[in-house]
Parts: sequence; C-alpha cells; structure tokens
Amino acid sequence: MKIKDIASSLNLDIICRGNGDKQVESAITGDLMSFIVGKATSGSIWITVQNHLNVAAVAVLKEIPLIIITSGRAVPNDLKERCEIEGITLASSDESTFKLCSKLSELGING
Amino acid sequence: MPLSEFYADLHIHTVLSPCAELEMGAPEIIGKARETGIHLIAVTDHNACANVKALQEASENCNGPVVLAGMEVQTAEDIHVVLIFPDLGVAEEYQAWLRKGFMKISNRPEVFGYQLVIDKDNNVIEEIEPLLIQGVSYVIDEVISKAKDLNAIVILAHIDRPSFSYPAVLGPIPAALDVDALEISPRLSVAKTIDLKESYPSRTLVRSSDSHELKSIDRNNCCRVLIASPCFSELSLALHSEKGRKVLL
Repeated sequence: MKIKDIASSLNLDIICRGNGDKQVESAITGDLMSFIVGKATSGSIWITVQNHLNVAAVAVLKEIPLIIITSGRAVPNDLKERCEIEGITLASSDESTFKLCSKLSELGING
Repeated sequence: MPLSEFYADLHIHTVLSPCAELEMGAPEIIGKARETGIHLIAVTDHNACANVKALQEASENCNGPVVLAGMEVQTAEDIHVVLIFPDLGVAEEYQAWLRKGFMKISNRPEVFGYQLVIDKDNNVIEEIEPLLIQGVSYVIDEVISKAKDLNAIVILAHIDRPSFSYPAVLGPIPAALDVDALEISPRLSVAKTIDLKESYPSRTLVRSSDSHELKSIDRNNCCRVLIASPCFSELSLALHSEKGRKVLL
C-alpha cells in the first residue's frame, strides 16, 4: 500500500511529506529506540510515541520510510527538520498506537 | 589535609562520540577546561572509554585538569548512566564487558557522525566501527551492578531531561537504586533544582555540562566540590558527603 493512501485512510496529519508513492507492507511499534534498531525490518512503518530527534537517525539506519507519532504527542522542530532533510514521511495522529495498529491491520498491513 | 573548592565537570564527550562536534579533540578540551578554571573532568563518551588516554596525556603535557576515566552507558531501556572508574584499566575492563552486549550495527558516519579514537595530538588512531550510540543489551540493574563490582562511581545522567533519563523512561528513582549521584543539566532552573532536591533529599545532585561542543565547557555548567585534591577517591567521598567532603552545586 502507498504511504499517501495509508495517510489518508488513517487521517494522519502529515508533517513531512517524504515519498508518498512509496509502497509499505509491514509495520513495527515500540518507543525504545534501541529496540527498533535491533528489530525493525527495512521498509517498515514505525508507530511510536517517541519524539526525540534520534528517531530520524534510527529511521535512516533502518530504512523506515514512514514514522507515525501517536496519541497527539508534540513533534519537535528538530525532528521535523531532520525528517525533511532525510526525505522521510513524518506524520502524527491523536489516536493511540493501539488504535492505529488496529486500523492498519484492517488495511492489510499485518506484520 | 586541608579541603579546598575545586570545579569538576563529570560529563564531557570527545570526537569518539558520533554526536560530538569534531572540535572536541584532546588539546582543545583540555585547553578549554584549563582556561575556564575547571580542575577535574571525566571523559564520558557513549559506551566507550577509548579517548581517555589521549585526554590524560594531553593534560599531563600542559599541567591541565585531572582527567578521570569514564563513559556514558546507554542501557537496554535507553537510559543514560555516567560511570567514572578508579583508573583507565578498570574502565577498559568494563568496556570489554559492555561490548559483549552490543547489537551488531555499524556506525554510518554520514548519519550519526564520526567515532574517532585519537592520541594526545589529535592524530586519528582508529575509527570505531560498531555504532556507539546504541542501547546495549544489559538492563539498568546489570549496568549498575557490574560498575559497582568494579568500584566505579555511578551517576544517573541528566535526570531533568525528557529523553534518555531514568525518570523519563522508568519514572521516579527508587530509594534503593545503588547510584552515587543524580546529574542535572546546566540549563535547569533554580526552582526546578530545588524541587529535585526535595524529591530526592538523600541523594547528591551534581551539575555536569554533557559537553558535545567546546563552548559548553564552562564553570557555570559544572559544579564545585569541597575536597582535599582533585582525584577519584576524593570525588567519591564528596558524592557521599563523607569526611567533610561535599558537592557544592
């Protein structure tokens, strides 16, 4: 599924556009950056409440094209700027990680 | 031996930490600490102590500050802990143990920055391949317990910050947690510092610069300690307010 279609289906607020035509098939959740560094597979969506600048660096390292910051957590400017530079789609939502994952599952993103 | 006030900055990064500026070389850090009148520093790179020797030698060259061997460990929970060791040999022993808990991920200098091991004159000896800014596989209790086995000083880093601090990740610091001090950031307001002191009345607070650039190495960004001489054992006494030694924030 394309990132832009996921964003519209989940009603995400797009903070950095990135490449909306990129296809994604898997997702990971977790708020510990080390956990994501250890476990994420390339090309996954990352759904998290973690909003530290290093989220962008981890996304680059793990080739994560879409980061969704959940539960209405503020997105700091430094993170936004870094994602802009790296061409990563950064989005936020007022919904919880759990709710978003549930909706992603309905869209066919299952693992 | 009479006690005097010394300035101590117990948290300084060098070019070994990828997030530190490339200006954080050995003579530069020593020069800045000397110029600003800091008597005791701990070199605390992320998960590594490979530049301690360079800083120690650079300081010996110019009668600079006493340099203690330290590191800033990132635990499995992404909590930062500053460790200061009795000497470099012990720090290296700890570092070898820590390495066993590394994830096998290489640094990407274009993303994270360079991880350079240098000598006292800033000659690059080696570039460290494993990514140093990673949470190791050891949880905080293991990180502390191993450090205590080696008689290291354990300080919870920047407890006022919303990322990589004990309170941000796990909540209030338990009374039983075996750490020697709690570190606060230079930018923390007086009011918030007083709040923290009241929250943790039995703990010693230290202010450290967590310098990643030269300009933050400054007397205003560290703390004074009342000790007989700037060294590991005196610092250790001060952190526990023993024998008249103490930390003066």
